[in-house]
Amino acid sequence: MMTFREQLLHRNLQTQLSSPELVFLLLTPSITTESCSTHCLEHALYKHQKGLFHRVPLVVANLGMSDQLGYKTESASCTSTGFNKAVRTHSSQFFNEDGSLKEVHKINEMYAAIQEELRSLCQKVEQSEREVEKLMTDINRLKEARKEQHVQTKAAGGKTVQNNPQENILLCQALRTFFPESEVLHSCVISLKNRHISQSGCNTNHHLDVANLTLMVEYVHSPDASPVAQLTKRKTLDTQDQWPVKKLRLETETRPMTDPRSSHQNKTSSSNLDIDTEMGSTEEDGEYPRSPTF
Amino acid sequence: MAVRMIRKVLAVHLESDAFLVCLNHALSTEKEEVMGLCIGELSDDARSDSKFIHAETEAHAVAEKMDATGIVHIHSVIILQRSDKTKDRVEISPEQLSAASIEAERSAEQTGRPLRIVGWYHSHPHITVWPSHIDVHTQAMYQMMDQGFVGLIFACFIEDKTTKTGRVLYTCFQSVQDPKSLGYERIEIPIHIVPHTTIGKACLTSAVELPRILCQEEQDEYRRIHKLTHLDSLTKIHNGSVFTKHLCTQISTVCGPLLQWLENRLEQNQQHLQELEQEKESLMEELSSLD
Repeated sequence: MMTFREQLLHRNLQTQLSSPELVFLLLTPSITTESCSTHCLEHALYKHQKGLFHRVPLVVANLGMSDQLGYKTESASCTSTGFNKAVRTHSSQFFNEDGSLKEVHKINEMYAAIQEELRSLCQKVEQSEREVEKLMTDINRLKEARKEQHVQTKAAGGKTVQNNPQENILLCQALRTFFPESEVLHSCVISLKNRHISQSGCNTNHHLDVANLTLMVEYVHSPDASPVAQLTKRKTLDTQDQWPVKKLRLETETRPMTDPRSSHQNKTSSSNLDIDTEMGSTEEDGEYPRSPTF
Repeated sequence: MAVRMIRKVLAVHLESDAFLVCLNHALSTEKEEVMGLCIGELSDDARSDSKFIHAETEAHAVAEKMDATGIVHIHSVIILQRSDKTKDRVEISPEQLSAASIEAERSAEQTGRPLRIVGWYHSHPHITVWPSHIDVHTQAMYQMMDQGFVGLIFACFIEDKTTKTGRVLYTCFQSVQDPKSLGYERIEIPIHIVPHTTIGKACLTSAVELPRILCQEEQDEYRRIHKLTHLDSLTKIHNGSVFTKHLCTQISTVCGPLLQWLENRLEQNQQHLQELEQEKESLMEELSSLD
């Protein structure tokens, strides 16, 4: 606490120095422990306002202060001649002639370049969006027209023409994988509805893994199992425009196999093939077999 | 009966200019602990004093008599660079100890006094002044090399928000083996600040070392970050700005006030010199008139 003498002294100094904002820093040392091993130095700041002395918080400016993060609105006052001389000497390296900061200019220019990139790319994307929109509208219109035409054709009882039949690429890949040497099987292209699309063969490698087709069953050696797999015929969906090549039968081999893929390839080395038939497991006797999927 | 002489530190006398450097260093940041080494000498006070008789455990049946008591005089301090800034830990490397020893030897040659490293100090920002168990253990390790080694702690940035009063506390301690456990416990060592009208060369040098050490720490940290090869240009520019910002903070918070203090001190000393010159002249005149 300020003593009465100190208060008087402070008021006199305020008058003498014409400094109403004058503050009084009170330092109070004390010994904390009896052994004099620990000491305490208290500091408090007082300001004279409206006839009374008020304590004001004293913040020791240091490097760990959190208010260093944002923009500063006040400068740290330093009257040191040497300090101001050093700062003035080197200021020109940071400031332009008009007082603006070089670093600020540079980052602003880079930011403007990035914004220009954004604007240019945005224009291009906007253009592509409009093109997509237009095309989608056109396609929707065409689909509508096609739908109408289908309806008309059906109503007229005419033969619907399959437009753009899709090739059965799984069938094509299976034939290429299992019967690579058979020219007969590669001589034409078959659609998903089992129709002839083209008289010339498909030369495209569809890059499909046909090793796990449901048609292909892993052979497991079992003394009780019948060496010949049960074959059941799959009902064809459409009898018109069938594949003109005579159906061949697929026979399973009796030797045990470990690699399903190699077993499939070994099986396909047989000259017989029946695409429309499937092998069923001996354990599934009596159950409805699953159709091969192409 | 076996008698073993153990030097015990009676008290620590810390020169006021060294105290000023320690305090200035401790108050430089409230975010991390800072540290330094104390340079000084141990004066022997060879007197038998029964109150220092210390008995070992009954199982050993050895009585120890502490005949030599000493006072540790701390004349100056060396501020140490931190390789890893943390808020609750400091580490002094063997290289730093070695470099400080060389510095102490140089000071000894210059002053003609047997100066050496006599202790260490560190700060406790926002925490209690008492040493942690790690501090006590570290002190014990130093005492194995030198039984007269002492530890100082400066607790700062402690504020009583109700009374708006700030506090800085400082304490001096050593470590002793705790007979009940295998660990160590602290013992209090009395510490006194010795007033000094002038500031010693070693303390002035240490005081102006602080900005250089802070700058070096920042440069080392920036170089370490800048070496990261996976950072893109924008991140590097950002880090460059952060480095500039940190240096600006150091300049305004530490360098500016330090320069200001030195200039004020110089002005004060020059004024004081004039007054002393005048006083000297009048004394000489008085003496010559008496002859």
